[in-house]
Amino acid sequence: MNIQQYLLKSFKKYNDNNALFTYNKYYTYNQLAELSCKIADTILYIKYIKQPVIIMGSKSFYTHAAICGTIIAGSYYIPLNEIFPLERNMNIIKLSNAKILLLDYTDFAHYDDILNNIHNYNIICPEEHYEYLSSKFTNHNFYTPKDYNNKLLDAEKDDAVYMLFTSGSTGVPKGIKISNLNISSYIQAFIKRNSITNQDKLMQMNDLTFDLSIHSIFLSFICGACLYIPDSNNKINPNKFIISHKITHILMVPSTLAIMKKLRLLKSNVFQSVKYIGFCGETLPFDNAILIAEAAPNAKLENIYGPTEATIACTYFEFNKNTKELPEYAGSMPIGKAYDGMEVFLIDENLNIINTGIGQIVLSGKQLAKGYINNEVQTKAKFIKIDNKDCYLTGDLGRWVNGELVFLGRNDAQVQIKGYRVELYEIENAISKIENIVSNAVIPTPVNSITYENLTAFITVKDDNIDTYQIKSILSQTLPDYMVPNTYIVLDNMPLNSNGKIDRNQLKNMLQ
Amino acid sequence: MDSRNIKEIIFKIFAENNINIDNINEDDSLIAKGILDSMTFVNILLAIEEELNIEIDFENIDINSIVTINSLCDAVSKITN
Repeated sequence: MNIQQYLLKSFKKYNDNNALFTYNKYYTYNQLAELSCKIADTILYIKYIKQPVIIMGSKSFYTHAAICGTIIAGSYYIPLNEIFPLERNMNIIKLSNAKILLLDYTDFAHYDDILNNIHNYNIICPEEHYEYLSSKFTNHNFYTPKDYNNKLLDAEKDDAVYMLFTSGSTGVPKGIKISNLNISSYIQAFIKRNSITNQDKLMQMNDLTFDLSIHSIFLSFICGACLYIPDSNNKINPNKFIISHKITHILMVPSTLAIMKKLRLLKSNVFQSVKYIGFCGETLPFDNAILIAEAAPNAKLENIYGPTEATIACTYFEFNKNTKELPEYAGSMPIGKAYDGMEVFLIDENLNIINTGIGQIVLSGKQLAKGYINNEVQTKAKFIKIDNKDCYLTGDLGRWVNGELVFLGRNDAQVQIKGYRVELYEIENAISKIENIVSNAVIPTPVNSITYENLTAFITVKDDNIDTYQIKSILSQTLPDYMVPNTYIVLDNMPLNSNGKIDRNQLKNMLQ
Repeated sequence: MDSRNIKEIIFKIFAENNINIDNINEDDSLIAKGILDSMTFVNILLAIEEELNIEIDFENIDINSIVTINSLCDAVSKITN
């Protein structure tokens, strides 16, 4: 079944059940169905084809109906992000080729900058915003969601459901279209492992431009569960939100877990209601993972892994408080085995499949996108055939340990220093073991050159009185000299990007 | 300690974390307005705890009640008293 059919089926079946809780209000499946279908009808009224539709919103009921409505129209959605710089949002609009935009201006800061920078777009907005917007922005055509009795266009399995952009190394984002086949395969594989019922409550704390949001939104609406969106303040400390709403399913980035640990919230048995917690998006430190196992005693826990190019995630590793840490895990939780419908393997530099040692993680199967929509060079470089199978080269490194895949950092974190091949990950791992160090990132210098001479370590510490000579001497005990950073910069805070990962570009800028 | 001193200390801690709050509305949410990210905010809260030798009950505190400069100062004043 494709996502359009799944949604229409849920809308019929779950009627008065709650579909969404956001900004302190509940909305039923009937309410969601009514607005989504009107939005779908209005999209098809403006242009009766399957097409890209831009979403300008973040958490509101209208924004969620906009996502559903686009899919019900047989079209695909492209979210913008209010925290992106204007230039990046403009780039996404341009690259998407969309001419229709769905806007809830109360749900998207600085929307006016964007509307002033584009012209002649067809904008569908809530009825109560129409008068204000159409008088203020005379450079656009405004519509409100209405019934026009258009026949829906049926989505086919290869039609896109959404398109997301990942940062390209040249600064131009790369667009990835995810099809009905891709996302249906993800959902079927996930539901086969983890049950979700219409009594469940899924928390969705990720930006719409990050595909972890898609996991929660679609699994919730397809299974008839209720989707809970914490406001941005509650995202810092989701503790109370989880307990008071009796949340059952959560997908979070490990940084959120790190914050909960810092705030002393991971006490034994505090999250009794939770049945499932998945971690995705960055390395999950083993010791933090064990703390959550004790805090959520009834939860099934999974570390899941995958790039946007392969639809949200495509490997999983189930763990519990008794999971034993092996030295080969390098301090992190393994990423495990492939989802149903997917294959994962490791290759060496000559594209040969290897079963021992460190190799690049390669993915193949139903969840793979077809390539980047606007970057043929990168598509050819990353989407290749191995053994006559369509594969995606992730650029991530891994190793098999007892049949489970262990993630070992980015391939491009491998650099040449003074002629030696150096894994930045290995150095960061060594630094993280030093007492008093909270987080760290190692950047090869001079930045933006091809050959590097030295390494700079950015660190955050618990106690300000840190002696960098001491760090050097500790590192020298485990690392060869050429791997020991020569410069140490103590930061008050590690800069994070919108997905909660360490922002290496910001660190590089500090060195320029 | 009176509330003016507490405000000064809190401002000092923001400055030490390279967060400029001189020109912001003291009733605006620091998070929603994108003035700082969640990890930085958490580090600032922990620094305030340490500086004033207090313990904020994160388990029970409504995070909404401490995300503006004014509310944060109020909450911290209450704890120190």
